[in-house]
Amino acid sequence: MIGRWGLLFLAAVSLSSCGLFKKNNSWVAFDSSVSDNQKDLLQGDLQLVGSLNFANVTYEDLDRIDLPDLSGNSLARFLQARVKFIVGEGFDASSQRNVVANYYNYSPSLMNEFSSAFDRVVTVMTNTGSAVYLDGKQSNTLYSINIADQNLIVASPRVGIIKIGEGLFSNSRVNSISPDSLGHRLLRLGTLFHESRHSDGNGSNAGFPHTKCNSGDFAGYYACESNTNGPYNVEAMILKHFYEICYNCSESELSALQISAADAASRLVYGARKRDSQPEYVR
Amino acid sequence: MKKTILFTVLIVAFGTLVFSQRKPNEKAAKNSEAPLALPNSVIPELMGAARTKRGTNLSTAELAVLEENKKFRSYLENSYIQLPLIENIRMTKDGNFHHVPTEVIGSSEIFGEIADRIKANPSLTREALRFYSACAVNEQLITSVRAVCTRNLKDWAKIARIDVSKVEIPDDIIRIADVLPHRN
Repeated sequence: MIGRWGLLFLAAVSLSSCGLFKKNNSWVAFDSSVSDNQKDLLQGDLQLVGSLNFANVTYEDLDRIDLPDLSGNSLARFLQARVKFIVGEGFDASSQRNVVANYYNYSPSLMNEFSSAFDRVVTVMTNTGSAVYLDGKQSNTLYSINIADQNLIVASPRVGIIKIGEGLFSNSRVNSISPDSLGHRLLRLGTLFHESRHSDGNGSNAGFPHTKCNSGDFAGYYACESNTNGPYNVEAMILKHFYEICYNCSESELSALQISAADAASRLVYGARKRDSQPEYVR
Repeated sequence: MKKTILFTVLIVAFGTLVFSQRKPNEKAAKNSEAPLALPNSVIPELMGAARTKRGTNLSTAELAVLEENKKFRSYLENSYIQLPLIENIRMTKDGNFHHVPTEVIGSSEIFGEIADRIKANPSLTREALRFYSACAVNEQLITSVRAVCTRNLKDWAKIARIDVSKVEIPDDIIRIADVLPHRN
């Protein structure tokens, strides 16, 4: 009897640790490490994106995010190209990582959005994947990662996995407003757009890494932005528009969007410049 | 003789009353860390407004307004000391500053409450502007919060038609405040 329960327990643990993905009706697959509550909220957030409609969009806004317009469709496509899997804090990328090739010669090519290489290689895209790619590039090791019953080759910063938890939920925690309110949803989406940008870029700028702050609140930490089209500046821009469409939002929700935008804008260092956002990939 | 003594006593009592009411303000002005401590150049109009109220005969309605102002000021003072300090954020976040610190975004409740109260009673705007200006120039506070204070200072001053151009806010704070979303 004990043995049977033990086996059941082990089966449950192994299913959980290997990332049993839950079915859903959005373009994103959620790992079992994401709670049902978080999954429901995020699905609602993602569904909201297609209906977004901004006014007063400037050329500078478009230049930051490298999109022809900021329609709901364009923004949804932006996320769809960069977010395929969402995993929770329980997902351990290092234990799901395999070495495909040692002493691998990284001579990446630029990824064309419409190339067959992109379609063939990239099935998921998250920060964790971007980090694994950069780790491999630095150590001349090509990695793959076990995710959603696949052994996915990490051949581009766009092959990552969005890992949620502290970053996505606690950052938008404002006690007086509900997690499913429009303000909260927009705050989470702001973070998601930030994370999405980490899967772009090439060469020394692959993954749009943050730069070391020489001064200011976070001096000495890698928490600043040297790219005008990098994650923080994309987030600041999108939050500005979110504020403007947060109709019927409470003053606390509006202030939370404003403070988040201020935080993102405060990370831009003097002399920041625009970089090529095309992601690179290796064959 | 009795009248003279009575007059003298009244004068002394009045003087004591005035002194006791002014003393806390003077202390606050001397202490650079006191809530709502303002730089020398801040909003002369506000100071002028405070003086004209003193010593006049106030109606019940005016007294009620003053009482509400007093309560609001008390709320602002309590809120001011809750605003996130750079030093505290750097200590609590342990080097992980990738996203906006929770303590920072938590202050949106304060800004939201202030905005709600001003909207319900525009006569509170002047007190709020003192709060925003003190926050905007306080170098111990986190930059993003100072920028939001600056944005609010400008927005609410514009609505109330009060000149706040003499508040000496550093350029790097104004640069951020200028790109923030704001109320029309």
